[in-house]
Amino acid sequence: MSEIKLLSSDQATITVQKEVAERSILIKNMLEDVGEVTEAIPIPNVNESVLKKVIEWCEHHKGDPPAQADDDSDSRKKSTDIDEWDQKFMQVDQEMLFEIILAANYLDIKPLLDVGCKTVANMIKGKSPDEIRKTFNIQNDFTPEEEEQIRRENEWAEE
Amino acid sequence: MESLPVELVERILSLANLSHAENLSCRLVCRGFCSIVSPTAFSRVRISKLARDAFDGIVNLSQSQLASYVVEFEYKVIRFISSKDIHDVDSLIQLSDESDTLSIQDMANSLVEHHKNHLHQVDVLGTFYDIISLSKALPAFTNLKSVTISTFDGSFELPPPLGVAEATTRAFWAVIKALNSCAYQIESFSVDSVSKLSIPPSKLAQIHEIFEGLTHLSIGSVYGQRSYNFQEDILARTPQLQTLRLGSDGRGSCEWQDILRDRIGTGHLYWPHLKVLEMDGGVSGRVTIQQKGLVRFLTSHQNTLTDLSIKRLKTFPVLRKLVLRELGEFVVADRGCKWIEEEQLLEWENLVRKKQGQTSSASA
Repeated sequence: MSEIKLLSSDQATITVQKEVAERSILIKNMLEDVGEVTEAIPIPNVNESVLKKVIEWCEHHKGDPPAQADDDSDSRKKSTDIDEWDQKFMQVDQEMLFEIILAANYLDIKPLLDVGCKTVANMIKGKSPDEIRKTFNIQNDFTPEEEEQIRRENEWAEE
Repeated sequence: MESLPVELVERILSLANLSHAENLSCRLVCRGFCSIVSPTAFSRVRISKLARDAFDGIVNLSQSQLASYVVEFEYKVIRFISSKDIHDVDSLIQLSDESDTLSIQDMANSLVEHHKNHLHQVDVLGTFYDIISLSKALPAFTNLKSVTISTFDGSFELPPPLGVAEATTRAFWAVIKALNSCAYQIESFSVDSVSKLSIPPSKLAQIHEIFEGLTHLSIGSVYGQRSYNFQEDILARTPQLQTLRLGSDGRGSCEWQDILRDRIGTGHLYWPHLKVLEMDGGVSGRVTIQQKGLVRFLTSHQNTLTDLSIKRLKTFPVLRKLVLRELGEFVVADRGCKWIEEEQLLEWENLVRKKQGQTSSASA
């Protein structure tokens, strides 16, 4: 089983099976373009701890069938169900969760990106605006007048 | 969250599959959330009250910058309270269908509620507030694609109870008149039930203008004495149709005989782009259709049809065997029966085999 090396943004070298690394479309395409590489492939946007976490996910899912062409179909897109292993995997602090999402986006690992986004989506569902702001430390940047205007607009569409 | 780029927050909110109320609520989180969820929050608007404030809401929306987000409009029709009943306490209480379980106090409250609703109704209808409001609002929804007129109480059996026919007819014409004022063309029109009222030619032109460009049409049930307008003058004037659903509202019975027997059943209707056809005769099984005509109709549409569902139609046994539900699930007709359209049936079988072959090779 051939292995490749990845170089994280904080200069850590991680050795990983090629098959595992190729869950990342970015790395897969890169390897296809350059052929065999001996030196570590730089992953400038992802630090060691996040990269290790991403590789852990890729190792667990290395045997998964490749994403279908209808990846963005409604059924897949709209379901917030998350596999049990993935749920446990995503039990990390919020900063790490967002880092994983950013890394999955950068490395082009759509299934991981979906799991990450669904995890955050589930944290949003059923919460009031105030609870959402508190959960994600979002600042309310509306003026009182703007907020009042939005409440009025919402009334037009209430059912 | 604020460290994520907008497209990822969009992805998250899209995956959250938020309810309409949650989408509206999310607008209040921050400016970023507001701009992301607003198009979805206002993509569908609905009127479900026969009162000025409901119509004011939709007019206000139409005059705001949010108007361009509206893609679907639903007019949920509440049956009219008949004026002769309004002072008849027993009739009013009966309307709620809860008289057995109501206390005297609840009955009194219910009565007041009915009076209030009646007052709103008289106010809206007497001032044409519904028609004027919709005529003002709909033209401003420049991205509107779909209009639905649904009945508020969907559980009634046909014939509909007092007040439903009047309410749906009023809603139908209010919407048609408003759409006549629009510079754009809608794609989808859906109505739960239509009363077979006599429509003068001058008013038919108003319907034609809307229906001629429709790609999706759904009509739940038609009740009343005659449906000549729908079969002759309306269905035949929908050349762009891709989806047609007739009687698909699951109601107790649908009176589709005329359309099915005289037009579809005779194979006289032809839609060059028809992909989806659903016909439901209702549980009463009163709808009879000519198998010969139906086969001719289906054969003439075989190049475009991809989904077909025919339920609860009274047909000859051979057609019962030809259960035309979803394409690819046809049951081969009983070869022991005499089938005068043998050749056409074979064409269908071949088509089905071909489609099934495509499906199985695709799945393999």
